[in-house]
Amino acid sequence: MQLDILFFDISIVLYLFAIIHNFVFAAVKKERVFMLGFGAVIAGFFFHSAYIVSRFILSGYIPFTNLFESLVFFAWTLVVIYLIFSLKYKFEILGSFILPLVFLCYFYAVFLPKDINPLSDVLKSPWLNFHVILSFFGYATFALAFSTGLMYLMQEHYVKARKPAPFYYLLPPLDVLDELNSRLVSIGFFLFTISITSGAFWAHQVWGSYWHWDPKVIGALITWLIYVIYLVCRHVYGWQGKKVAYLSVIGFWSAILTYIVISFFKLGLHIFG
Amino acid sequence: MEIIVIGLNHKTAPVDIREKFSFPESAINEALLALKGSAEIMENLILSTCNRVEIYALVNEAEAGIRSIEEFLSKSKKMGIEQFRPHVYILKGDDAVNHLFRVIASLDSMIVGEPQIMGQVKDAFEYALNVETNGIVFNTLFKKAAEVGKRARSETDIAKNAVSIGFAGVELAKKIFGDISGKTVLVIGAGEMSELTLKHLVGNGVSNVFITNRTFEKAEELAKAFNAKAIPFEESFKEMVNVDIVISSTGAPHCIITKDFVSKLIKDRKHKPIFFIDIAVPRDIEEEVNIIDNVYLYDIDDLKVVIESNLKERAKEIPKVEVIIEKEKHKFFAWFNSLEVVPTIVSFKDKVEDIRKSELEKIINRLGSVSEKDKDLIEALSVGIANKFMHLPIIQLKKATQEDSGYVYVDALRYLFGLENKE
Repeated sequence: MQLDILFFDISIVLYLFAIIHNFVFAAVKKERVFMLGFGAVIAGFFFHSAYIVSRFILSGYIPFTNLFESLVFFAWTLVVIYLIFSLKYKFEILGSFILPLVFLCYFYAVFLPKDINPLSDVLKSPWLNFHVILSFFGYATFALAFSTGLMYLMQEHYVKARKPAPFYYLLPPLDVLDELNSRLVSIGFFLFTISITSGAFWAHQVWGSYWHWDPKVIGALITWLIYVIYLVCRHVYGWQGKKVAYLSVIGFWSAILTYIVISFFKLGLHIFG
Repeated sequence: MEIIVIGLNHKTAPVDIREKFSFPESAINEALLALKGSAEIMENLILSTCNRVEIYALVNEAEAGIRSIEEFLSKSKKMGIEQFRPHVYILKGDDAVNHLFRVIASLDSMIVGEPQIMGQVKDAFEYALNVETNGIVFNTLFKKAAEVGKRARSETDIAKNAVSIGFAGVELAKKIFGDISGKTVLVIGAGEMSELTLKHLVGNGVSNVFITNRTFEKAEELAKAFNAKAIPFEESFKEMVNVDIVISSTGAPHCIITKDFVSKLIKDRKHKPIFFIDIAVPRDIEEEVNIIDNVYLYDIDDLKVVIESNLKERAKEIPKVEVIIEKEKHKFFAWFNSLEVVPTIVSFKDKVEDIRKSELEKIINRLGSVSEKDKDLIEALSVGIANKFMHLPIIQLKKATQEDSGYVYVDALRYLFGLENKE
């Protein structure tokens, strides 16, 4: 067995352990259970990173050029953002929202071919790393914004229903969620915008035109526009709370949908490997 | 030697019986001393609150101790033993300690997690301390109890989540705004309930307070107490553009804040969230207000539902507290059981014997070649010293036991000679 795949497999086990502990924590609220889960995330992240490094050494490029690699790399950016966030805020319930997303990426990736393919000529460009890494971190930030948006909608429902449900006690205050949602969307939007722009420059260099009728590009643009609407509503019209939370959820769904449709039907220029 | 408790509480006795049996501060000293006067009772303490009256005692023999406490109660409360017996619970040993720990952890309280009982037990101990009806057992027991109370509240969520209207309002405000310090409150109607809620909000850092009332003087009066600003009733509606929390408790017969008004208000506020607490009956604020985005409305019944749910959350923590109680009880009894005289004498003898043997061995080794006869002589010397040394303490200990103060010397002996407690 290849070393990189071994590391990958170990991280699967650790993340599974982490998810279970995060869910159990949500049910029983025992700090020790959470700490066990969080420890497992860190251990899983260590092996996850070891996979990326060893794969990089084996192939000579950062592993995000076929579907398997891109899913696992996206999962990695999710965990990076999650860990940074957890260091900054005490926000224990976040794990129960983010780790399932990590798990979904993994669950899909496990069934995909894990071969290392030679890099196609188009991708042999200094733009590649810049463009892809930024967009992945952008998406991961949107994923976090999506989670806080979802939490906001749940908590708003509980507060309005005036009947405390179990999650009511675990979720952070509405204002805090709203504020985090706003900040995360702004950061994600910044990263995503640079990524799209760099993609356009790259396309110009390779194909001689900034714009292509490529499904992925169109999808990304729709996603981008949804976040533009989000920012305008929030900062120009002063919206806050429920409606913008919905927008942050829709924006992320748009990104996910684009990704799924394009990888499933193997459409357009963004197909790798 | 056994710890017993005889008591009645809100679950076992109606309020008139509890009142009759309670010991006001002025009567406690006398009662404590009267109990101490009984030959059966070595240490005692009275815990008397509005929800319970309990007499804790360290007695020689449980049955006799119980009888003498019952007689005392009957005499001092002028009621036949048979008459109050149905309302009274009597617990011994493990059960008695378990009960005390449950009481101080508030598991036995009307509202689980309430904080007052900690102070009440502490006061009860102070009373006993004042007239010296406590001793080493109760000193240790009640120190442990205080620890249990503290651990229950800090290591579990037994005391988390509000169970009063005022505090429930504060917690909801925190669920909406996060940090409420720096938020602005408007109080409409200067009543007792609104004052109570306001007190909790101010206690949690709310700094800007406006108060309004139909009769302006009353608003001014309350404003003075809270360092707030009194404003005329008509102006208060305009002020709502800037406030975050509105507490309404007017005596108006119909709603004074309507959905139409709030729909317009939220636009003027640029969608900044606002929280209405309606504690008036009949209500001051239209129910439909709650439908509007970024507007939250709780009336008095809603707050009661929240409290109900919070109580259930607290109840979920009870098993965690019981684990703490079990552990502390175990530690306490490890110490308490070591106060038995006979095993203490045995371990005292063992200790001295160990010392004698090891010293004997050392000296024989250092002497090198010694004749058997000399060896016997040295051995006899060591035995002689050891026995003479132990003789008087053991005699005195046995004598003290007959006079009920044996355990005090046992404790001292164990402490001075470092005799281990058996778990």
